[in-house]
Amino acid sequence: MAPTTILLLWLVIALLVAGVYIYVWSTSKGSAGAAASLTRFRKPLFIAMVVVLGTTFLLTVPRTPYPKGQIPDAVVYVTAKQFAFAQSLQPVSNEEEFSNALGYQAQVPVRGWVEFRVTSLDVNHGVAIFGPDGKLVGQTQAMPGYVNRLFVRLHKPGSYKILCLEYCGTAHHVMQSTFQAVAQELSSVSSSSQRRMP
Amino acid sequence: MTELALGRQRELAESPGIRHLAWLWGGLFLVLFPLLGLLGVFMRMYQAGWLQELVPNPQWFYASMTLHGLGLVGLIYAASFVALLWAVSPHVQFQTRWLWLSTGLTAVGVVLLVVNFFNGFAPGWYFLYPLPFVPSGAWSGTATDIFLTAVAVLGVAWVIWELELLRAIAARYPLKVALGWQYLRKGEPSPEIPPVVLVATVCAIAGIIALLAAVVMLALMLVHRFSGSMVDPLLVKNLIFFFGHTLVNLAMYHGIGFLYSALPKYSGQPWKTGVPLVVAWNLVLLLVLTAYFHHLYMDFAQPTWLSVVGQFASYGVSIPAAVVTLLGTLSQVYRRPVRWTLASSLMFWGTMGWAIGGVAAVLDSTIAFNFRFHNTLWVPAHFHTYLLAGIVFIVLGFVAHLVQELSGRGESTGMRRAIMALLLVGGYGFVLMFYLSGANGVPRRYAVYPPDAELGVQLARIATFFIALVVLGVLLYLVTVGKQWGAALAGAQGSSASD
Repeated sequence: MAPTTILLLWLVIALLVAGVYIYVWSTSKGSAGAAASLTRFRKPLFIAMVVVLGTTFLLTVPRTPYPKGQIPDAVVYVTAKQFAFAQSLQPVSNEEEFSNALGYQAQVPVRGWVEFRVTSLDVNHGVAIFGPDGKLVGQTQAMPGYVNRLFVRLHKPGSYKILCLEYCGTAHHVMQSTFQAVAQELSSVSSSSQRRMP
Repeated sequence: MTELALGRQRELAESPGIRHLAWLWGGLFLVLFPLLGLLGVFMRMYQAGWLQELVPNPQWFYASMTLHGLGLVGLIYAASFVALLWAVSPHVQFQTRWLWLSTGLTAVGVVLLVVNFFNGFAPGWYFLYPLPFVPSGAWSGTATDIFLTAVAVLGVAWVIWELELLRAIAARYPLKVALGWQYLRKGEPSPEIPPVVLVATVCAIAGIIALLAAVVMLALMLVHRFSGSMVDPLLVKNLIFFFGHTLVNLAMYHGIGFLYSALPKYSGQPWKTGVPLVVAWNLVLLLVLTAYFHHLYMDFAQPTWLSVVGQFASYGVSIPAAVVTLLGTLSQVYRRPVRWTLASSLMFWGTMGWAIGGVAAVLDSTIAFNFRFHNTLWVPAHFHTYLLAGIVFIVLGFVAHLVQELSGRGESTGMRRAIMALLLVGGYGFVLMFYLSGANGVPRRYAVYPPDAELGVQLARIATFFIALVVLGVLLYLVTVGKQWGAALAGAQGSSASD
């Protein structure tokens, strides 16, 4: 579900809640009306919440963004370090390799599975991918000592940005990087990426 | 008025130590909440692009962010805890020296945190390990040491008062009785317990467990501090959020305990313990301790089943909140001749903030949605809704309740309506800008937005207009409650002179 759709959903429920509060508040003015308890709604509300939340749970859990055995069409290693990202086609494990990789900008295929293998050399960072239209495509955390495997399909060719989405220090907001998604034959891009290894 | 006076006499005469503690924390809240809130105003104005030339170093944005977050989470937790103590005090006997010791230690911890602000200490409110030890030249090792000391002191302080709360309850009620298990048997429950005792018991148990996690977290950080080698950051992150998430939720539950006790004084409708309330709060005890996993959804190295447990618990914990507390609050008011004052208004509308912020929290706790919401401004959107328009309303209601009971003075209807209108319109307008930003992928915790995130700047500018309404509402509240407080003090001096 698109974030703006979720916003709309929240807004509708929020207005509904506010409407109920305003109505109930309006009944409390002046002298008491006919005694009535809202506790008769307890059971229906309970059942409604169990049904709605249970259904949402069952529908959304299979859509978690975690690796599900996809075969990647391209693999990019993303290594974070205050306050830059290095992209590479081989794992980066020290500062020298990190510095060497800094100039590299990956090219990945549109519509294929791209696997980002994400880690950090110092503190926690976030690797969030923003599309050419500025919308957030997906994200994972970059944690020292761990590799998080992020699989995404990019549907539009163009320049994609990686922004840090975990606060990592006082220059957190300048930490970003760019890669390209290109409309080519999947096998051709993968192999061309392999040749461009820094 | 007579009923009000009688209520005051009964409660205050029973627990003068708690009364003094409540007055102190009420006063502290009225001073510290606006000051710490102003740091937030500074941050939003900085993001709006209006202060970047005046304060060119963004470190002060992040130092403000750290003190704003840490300070307000701690203050709201502590002030709501005292509201809970005050509400439960007619039913249990406290050894108040322990509560005063905790207050003194809390003051020491707060002073250390404020000192660290001037050291430029800026790892954020949840100080995600190992960031405090890797400042990239922004703050010193001494600042990190001061911070660790502050965390240790605050941890000791809060363990003491959670333990004292549990001890005081256990001295009167066996634990399973305080948890209401006798209501689950057939027949009349014996003994009956007030709802606030049940809530206080759940809060104390969860609070002690959360603070024990904080002790382990601190111990691991000290291992890093003295050995220089990194400990497992995923383990520490789990501990930080187990502790931090639980603490923030407990702040809300403290306020709910107070609400159960105080709102009936305005509605005339007793809030009784029954099977739904007992089942709800025992479930809360279980679920609140496992919901924190939703903070680690984007750590893909975390076992997936833990994230699924996080989504299940986050969904589950919303059901008792809605079915028991929110519906119960509405029942207290529906077609009742409620005595609307500043206190009862803030309590009632505060639960609406909890509900609306809670809906946003449930949406964000859906793993598939969190993929695009995590660490965007949706996160401060939902927690500002249930903190600012939720528990802060209830704590402000608590202070207003205290001073109105003692002074016997109310505020004019016009003033009450003006304050509530400013706080509600300003508060919801302010958080709406966060929601709009979050849904458009604007990152949180950015001092300066990149050029292609201009929407974040524009929405921050609009937000400052709504913040101005909140500031005005808080100022009117302070003037109103300040006058009532003055009248209460004058009354107290008058009565002691006549004695």
